[in-house]
Amino acid sequence: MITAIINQSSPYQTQLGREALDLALVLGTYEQDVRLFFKDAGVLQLMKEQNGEAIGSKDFTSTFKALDLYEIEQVYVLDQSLNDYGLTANDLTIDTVIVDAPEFYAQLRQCQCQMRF
Amino acid sequence: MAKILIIVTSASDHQASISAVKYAQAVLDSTHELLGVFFYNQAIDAANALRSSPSDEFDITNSWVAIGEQTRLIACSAAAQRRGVLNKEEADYHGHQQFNIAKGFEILGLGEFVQLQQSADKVIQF
Repeated sequence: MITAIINQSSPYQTQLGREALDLALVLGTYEQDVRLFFKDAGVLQLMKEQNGEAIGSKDFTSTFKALDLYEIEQVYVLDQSLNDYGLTANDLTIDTVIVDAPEFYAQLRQCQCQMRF
Repeated sequence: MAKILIIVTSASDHQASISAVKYAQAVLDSTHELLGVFFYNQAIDAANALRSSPSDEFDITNSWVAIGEQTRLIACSAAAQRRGVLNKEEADYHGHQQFNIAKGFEILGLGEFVQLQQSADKVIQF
């Protein structure tokens, strides 16, 4: 079963992003095929040079750099969401595949288990 | 016949949490198999035995307790600690005098979810 973790929430307003990443890493630890999808405000989780501590929140987003260690290699970002926030690939902390909506949802359809955070 | 795993991430004051209860009951009443219900994120509050719903409102926690007589109810340990839902062992470990996990709920790690997912045909999120 291929698992998609869909991140659509901003990094610090709720615990959703942090707990979604925790789940992805545990799936990776158990050698499951897990793929990450970022859309809407979820793309903000991938921005470089975050400082969660300044607002009393742990910066979990630096852990994205460790995804390779868990063999989580497929990370898709919806291009329209990046545009909405005025971001480009250069603003992101890890290498991702930036795709348009048809490709984003085509990739998502490959995943039998989809969870949204 | 499908093996179904439910993951609830919505808070108990969200309509999705009531839908989750009704879906779980429907699976139990069907020929399909419910492997369990995993509580994560804000859904942890459903496992708090101290929740006391007004008598004319839907009682999420006691609805799950009833469903727990027929399937496993599992609350993620890290998510539960973060939100103040503890069983006796966790309370002792963290030096608290009280614990508040509702009847029938287990507190286990995310690894338990992954193991259940491996046996599931479908995973449904609420």
